[in-house]
Amino acid sequence: MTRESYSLSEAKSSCDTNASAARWLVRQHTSLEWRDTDQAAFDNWLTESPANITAYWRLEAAWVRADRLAALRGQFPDTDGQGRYGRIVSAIWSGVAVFVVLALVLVGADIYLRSTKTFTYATALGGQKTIKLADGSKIELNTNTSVRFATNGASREVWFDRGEAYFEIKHNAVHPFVVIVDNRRIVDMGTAFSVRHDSGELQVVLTQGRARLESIENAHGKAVVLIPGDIALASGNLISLIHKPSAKVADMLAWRQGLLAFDNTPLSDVAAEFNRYNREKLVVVGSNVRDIGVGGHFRAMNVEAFKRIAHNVLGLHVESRGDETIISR
Amino acid sequence: MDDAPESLRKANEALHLPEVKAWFVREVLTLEGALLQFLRKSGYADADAEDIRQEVYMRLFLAARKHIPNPTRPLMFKIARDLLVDRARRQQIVAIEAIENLDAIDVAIDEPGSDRTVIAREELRLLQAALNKLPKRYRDPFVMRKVQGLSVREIAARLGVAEKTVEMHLTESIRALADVLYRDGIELGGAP
Repeated sequence: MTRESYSLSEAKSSCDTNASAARWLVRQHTSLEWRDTDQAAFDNWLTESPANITAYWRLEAAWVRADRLAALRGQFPDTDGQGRYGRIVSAIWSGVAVFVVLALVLVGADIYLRSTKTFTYATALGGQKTIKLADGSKIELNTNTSVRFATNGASREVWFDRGEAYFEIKHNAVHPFVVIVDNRRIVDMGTAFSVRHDSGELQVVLTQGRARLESIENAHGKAVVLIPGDIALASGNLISLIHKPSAKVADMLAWRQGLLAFDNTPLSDVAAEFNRYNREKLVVVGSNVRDIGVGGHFRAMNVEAFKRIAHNVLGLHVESRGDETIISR
Repeated sequence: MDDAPESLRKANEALHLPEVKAWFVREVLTLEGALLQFLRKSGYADADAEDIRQEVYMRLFLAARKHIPNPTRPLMFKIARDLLVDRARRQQIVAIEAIENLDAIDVAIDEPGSDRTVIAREELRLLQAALNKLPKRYRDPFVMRKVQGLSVREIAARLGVAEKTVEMHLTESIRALADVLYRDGIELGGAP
């Protein structure tokens, strides 16, 4: 990005105004670097005339509408960038015939896209990793998690494929950070939040600032604005919102310290949590056993400690069979 | 940058108008097709129509900053008519014809618009159709950006052109795409 594009000429005719608005829009949404000086120059331009504001809003709305194209891709998550095209196309063919049109464009673009790699950050079972972005934002990945960026570490847009992560975002009102999860997106409004996405369910826990959870499919549909302590659960077309005290919220983020926090949690859920981190899978047998309430903090990786408690404290039968450990009465 | 605080203050003023912005996207942009049709019938097309459209948007914006109009359509067309009368006065040759036309058109524009609500699939088709109207050199980078999420640098490398060129093409594609999307006057699917 060279300096000359910064000095956008005085826009007078609608054509000039539109051209300037489009240049700013593209720069904002594609620049690898967006400095304070860029922001100031943009602010100056924007406030030069109300015509600049409306021209910018107009193009920005079209740009956002075109996100629908990406939403389609987001529905078929892939981590390595290979084979994505084939999966999208087959899904389209098996899906709705109207999508065929899009497939045609993908065919056209495929020449360029076939060997594309996006930047994927992933953790293995039990792994954790922190990604530091160029703008100072930070993403902590929990176990078995995968996120993708279009660019290496400088993007303000991330595709969340699976798992759980905690986002601490350096806020930029004009250039918001966006997390895309399937057909929804989370737009930061000065934020720290955690996202968990497994078996079709999306959970967003907001710890600081504000974030907006909205559907990509329906840009004018209801968006939910989350405040600290809010927990949004989205699955299918439904979003439910609950508010929890900060101690509870801290428990939900205990994984950041490698801990699992339980409070009268059914044993079957406890087992499922451990199973997210460990190759050794806990299987709880018997409905009266599955419902036993468990409280306290455990090391996520320390299945042995939990097995001892199950045996010694709860008086349950614990038996290892290969990678599986059966807990029963 | 000496004037940074001042410019930031102004920008905040402009940017922290989420309601105005939401209204603008929801109500104004969806009337663009109707507005352009009205202008075309009044004898204004292309760059002239664009200039007027922009002026209309600007005045709507200034009005909405004080009070968001509801409904938007009558105010939009009142502003447009006032502008046309002004123009007609300045360009006296077309004056009579243009002003006479206005009343006739008035009836037409108050008819309910064709399907303002389309389902998501329709939106995708519309986007697709809009993209297809772009020249290939504009469309390809846009698709690579929006479908694949590639960076400008990656697109440039892939297409074997300069990053500046990619930026320029993206700039042209978003302008053309906006024109097609709004001219067709169809908005995203609302509540079913």
